[in-house]
Amino acid sequence: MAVIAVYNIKGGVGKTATSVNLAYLSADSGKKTLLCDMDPQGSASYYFRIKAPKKFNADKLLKGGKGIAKNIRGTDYSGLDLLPADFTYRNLDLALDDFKKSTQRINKILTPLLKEYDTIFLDCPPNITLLSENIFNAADILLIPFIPTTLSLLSFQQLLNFFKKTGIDRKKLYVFFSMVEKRKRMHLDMMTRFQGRKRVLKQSIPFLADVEKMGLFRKPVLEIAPNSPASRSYRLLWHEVEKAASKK
Amino acid sequence: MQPLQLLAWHLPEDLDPQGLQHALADSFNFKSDTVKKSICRWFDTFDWRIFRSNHILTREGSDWVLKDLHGNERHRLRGGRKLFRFAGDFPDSPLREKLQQILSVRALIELGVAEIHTTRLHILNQDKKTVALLELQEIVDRQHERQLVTVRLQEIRGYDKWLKRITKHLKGLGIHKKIQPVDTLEFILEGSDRKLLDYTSGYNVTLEPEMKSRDAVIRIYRFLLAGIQKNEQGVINDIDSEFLHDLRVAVRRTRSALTLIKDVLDPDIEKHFKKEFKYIGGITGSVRDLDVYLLSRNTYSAQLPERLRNGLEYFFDDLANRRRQEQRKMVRAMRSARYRKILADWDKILSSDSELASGKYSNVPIIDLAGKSIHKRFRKVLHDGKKIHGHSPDEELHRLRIECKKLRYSLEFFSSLYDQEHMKQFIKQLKMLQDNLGDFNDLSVQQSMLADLLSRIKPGTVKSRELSASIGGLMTSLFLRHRKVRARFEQTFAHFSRKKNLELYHALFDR
Repeated sequence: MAVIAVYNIKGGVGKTATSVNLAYLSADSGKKTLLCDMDPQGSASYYFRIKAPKKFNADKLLKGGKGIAKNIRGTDYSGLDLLPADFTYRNLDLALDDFKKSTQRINKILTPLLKEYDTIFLDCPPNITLLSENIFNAADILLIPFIPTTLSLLSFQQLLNFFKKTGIDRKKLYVFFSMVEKRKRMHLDMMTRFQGRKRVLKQSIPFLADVEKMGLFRKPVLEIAPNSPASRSYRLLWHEVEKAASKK
Repeated sequence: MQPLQLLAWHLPEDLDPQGLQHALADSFNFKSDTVKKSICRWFDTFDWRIFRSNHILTREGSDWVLKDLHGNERHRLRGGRKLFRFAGDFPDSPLREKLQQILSVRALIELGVAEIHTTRLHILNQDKKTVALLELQEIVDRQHERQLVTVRLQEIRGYDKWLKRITKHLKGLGIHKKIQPVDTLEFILEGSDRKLLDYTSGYNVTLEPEMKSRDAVIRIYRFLLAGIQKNEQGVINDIDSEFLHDLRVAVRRTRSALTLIKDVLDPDIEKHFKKEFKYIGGITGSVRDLDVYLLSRNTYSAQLPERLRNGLEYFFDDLANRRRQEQRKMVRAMRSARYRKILADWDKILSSDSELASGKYSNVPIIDLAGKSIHKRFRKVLHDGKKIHGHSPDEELHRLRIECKKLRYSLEFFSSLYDQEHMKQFIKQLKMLQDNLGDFNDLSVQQSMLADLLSRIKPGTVKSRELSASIGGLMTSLFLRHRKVRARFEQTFAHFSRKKNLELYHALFDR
């Protein structure tokens, strides 16, 4: 039973593709899985063709309990449910500030859901706010897709410092290289530098057109092209993540 | 969270699957999967333990599925090609745990098989999201050329409004007659020679107080004879140990009735069949004894350290061999002319109206005989039980156990003639005494089995010394338990024979 958050302060690094495909694989392996779309852009929800119900909003989310359960939707894939995002999520950090123990609120609302689901994925928005801090506290695993460039490294250092300052356990962090283009020298150099380091996963996800097609077909890539290199990469990635999660 | 709804209906005669799809296409967008074909088999024990626990067990393709009576799937297990018969055959899983609770030592029997053709329709909303799953299922019994067509609607979380819409629409098409998994099971059974709940072990005969004794005992003997006949095939085919157990219990009750309720039928006939049923008890005894020993196999193994279990295995393998031989002998005897004649003649006697088969009490109201018989047995139990003290030989407790059984049988035979609540209470009190005596007997039997095992161990190796020591340890623990049970006898008997129970007895049986 684990909460896996897919996070990066930068946008466009493959967070949603990762959340969607790993959640799909988790459900496919027999684990009852919930994907929570925490990004007001609602990309994960879009991929699953699910809109947030009219009455659902950020306040209902933070209230927890039945308010959340009523708004969970079954995806087209057996064992995989989705809590869709709502545009009011753009003010989640403000709303969180009103709560006592404002950094533990998300943890609190997720706890009862762990009785119903084996794995909960959180697709996070690209920023660092009170919501992010909540997610850092709630997650058992913080999975970070990382495009292997210099600027990425910089923002990763920032994140490590933030963890040190707030006392969050670094052992939650797992980094993997995302949207890798092996023909780019910088990518190769960066990956070589980090090969074998403790919090860096072995499997990387290449930049592939099939993954971009997810927006076209509105399906996980494993349903669009199950035998493609993209699907193979995600399966291997899931294998590593699953192992890490079982140790928590 | 609320469980998801699964609704199922019969497809009315005037609609076929194609017609239904056409009718739906007018109001809903959907995409259909290719038709899936699978083989489905239904299973339960001979005495319907799975159904009586409110479940239905099927094997769909190679998946074992346990559903409740509302159709909700409780457990699913991907199996291999092997058909499992006992709970222990299943791989370690939640399904196995559940089946162990339900089945105990009984085997699964296939009740029927059918082909299932499933057409799945994904009902889509504007965004082409699947909002409900509609399945058309044809259950085809090839052998008898019959089929059952059902429409099933599976809720997708968060889209219950669609469920309601579709249900309403289906109703408009004439689809509203609900179907439950038990209906499907009954459909399958119609193609077999069995009916739901056509067998339970246990004694259940209702008598009326003013019935002539002859009519009453014939009703009892008929019930018991049916019990023997129903279990015969299972014994011969060696499906599980309970067929033989139930058959022997029916034989024992028959013998008991012939002894307890004398001179209702012609006394020569009673005497003759007492002897003949004793013969049947005799030819089935060794297999049952070996079954009882073999059933303790896992318990003993678990109590020994792993390295010594092999030694025990040889012993039990030897017992299993002996059992196979005895089973063959028993089957030969059951197929013999003598055996067949006993049951045929008995059947004839129980069917004849003639005065031939009557004794001096045949026209006496059964209530009179019942009281006398129970009274006789009760007095014997009180009398013999009171005599037992701390130094009495074990043999006396074993005899008392038999006397209690006779009392129990006579209470059961005539239970319907008396106040049900009080009878239940009294039997409960008797059962406490029987449990103590039963444990005592069981521990004696186990100790002799271990002593026998000990005598067969070939001495000389380190392992044989260690195995002997372990067996010795097991025997000691049994001996201590045996002593404890024995020590509790006086108190248990005093409790049974206390004033309150005697008053209960008189309230029940005095007229």
